[in-house]
Amino acid sequence: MQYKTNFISMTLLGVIYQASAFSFVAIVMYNSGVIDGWVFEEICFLYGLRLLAHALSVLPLSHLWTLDSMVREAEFDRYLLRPMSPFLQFLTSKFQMNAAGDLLVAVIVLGYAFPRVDIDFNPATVAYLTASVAGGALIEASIQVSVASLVFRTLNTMSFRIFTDTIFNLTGSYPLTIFSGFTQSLLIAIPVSFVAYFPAVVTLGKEGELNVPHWVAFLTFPIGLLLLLGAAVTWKSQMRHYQSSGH
Amino acid sequence: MNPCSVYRPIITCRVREALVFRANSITLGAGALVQIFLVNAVWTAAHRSGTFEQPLDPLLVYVTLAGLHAWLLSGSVLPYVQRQVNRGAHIFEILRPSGYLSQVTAHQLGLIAGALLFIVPALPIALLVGSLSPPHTVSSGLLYVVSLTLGLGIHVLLCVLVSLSAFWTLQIDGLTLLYRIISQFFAGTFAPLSLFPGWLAAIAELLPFQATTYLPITVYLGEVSGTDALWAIAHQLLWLAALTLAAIAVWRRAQRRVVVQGG
Repeated sequence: MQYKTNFISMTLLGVIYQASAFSFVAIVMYNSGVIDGWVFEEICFLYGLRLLAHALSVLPLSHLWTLDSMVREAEFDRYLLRPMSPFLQFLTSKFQMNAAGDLLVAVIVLGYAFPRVDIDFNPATVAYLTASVAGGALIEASIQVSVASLVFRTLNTMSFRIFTDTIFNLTGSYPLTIFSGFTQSLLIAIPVSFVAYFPAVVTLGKEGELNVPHWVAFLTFPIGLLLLLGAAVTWKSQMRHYQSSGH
Repeated sequence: MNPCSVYRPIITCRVREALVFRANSITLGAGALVQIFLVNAVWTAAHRSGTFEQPLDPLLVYVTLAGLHAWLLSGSVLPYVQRQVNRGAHIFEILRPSGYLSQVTAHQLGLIAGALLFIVPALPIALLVGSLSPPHTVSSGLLYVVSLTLGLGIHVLLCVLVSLSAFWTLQIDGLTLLYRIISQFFAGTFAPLSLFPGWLAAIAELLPFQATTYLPITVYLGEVSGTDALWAIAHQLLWLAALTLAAIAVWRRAQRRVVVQGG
């Protein structure tokens, strides 16, 4: 936190960025009032849920964006020489707070939605929501780490990572029903829909609109864990391709 | 020295750069197409389920075209100018016989040309993920080209003006992103200004950003025609003149502030 002004301005930038993305939804709802049976507050709930999962996934991983140049310039070597896991060393060597803006907007949007939507707040629901947010964060984080680990082979993953981020950001915050059947299957498979849409559907009691068996919508946390495992395996296997400065 | 002679080499260089860094250009395009796809899907869903009076098809063409405009205008010369100023290398550009403003303008035009190179082959995909249709009438199409050209000029001048801020503050992190967010929003990229709430539309109308997207596209769609279209173009010409004068005035002041690292 030494660069306090920088932290504040970067957070503000993050807030403005998220606010402008959200304002698209707001303008659509201003003109239409409802999207496929979802009213503004319910859309806010879905949007805020995804943003929360996203912010939590980004928080520990912000240093991941410097991985590309570290690998290219062979600076990654120093992590291999120490007895601790290179991945953990790398992540913890620098902690950037760029996700603060995302987190702030997520809390504001969810804070607006919570009292206004029809949710039965019992311990089971709270547990499910917490697990889903954690699972959603794990899903996004695992996919980013897996894509990032390609750097050991391709030396440049920035474009692909930004594209992945774009897909999750753009398609994850809206009801799945706005898309055609093919796109829906695609998004379920990626699995963008598990990050926030399915948890929102279950919590709001909208299971009626699901095109998948109901039990599938509960799988966010298990899928998150599975992808975490996958990311760990991918990272380990890709790291073997690290050639340091010997290219 | 003829300032025009500096445009070709710089623009060519920028276009080559876009080709060499293909991955970046393609990713940018892929992101733009996903955005067009999503915006189309959201508006379609809103239309079929909500209380929406406007016809859907022109709206979808609008947001598809607007998305392509946003792609065209996504590059900014600001990071380049900031980098040059940080390294003190801008002094070499200033010392050249061709004007500094001409060079920065050339860079910005080059960025647009580089984007265009990838947009043209992507048009069939845009047709697939979004909605495109021919201009309302032949004259709409011709006026669109005029309006778009003026809009691009306004965009270039705005980028040049924002870049000149680097002469005052050596480093503003995130200014590029901030500018892109604000300009895209007020240009009416995700929704035509006519669908904005009244107070927001009023703000947008005072700003020059609508000249790059909302004005040309509503001309294209025939929603603004006849004398209204000519007024829109006159509006753009006014902004173009004002921004040109502003750029020259700001540059004069910037020159006095030239501070090279350590000097």
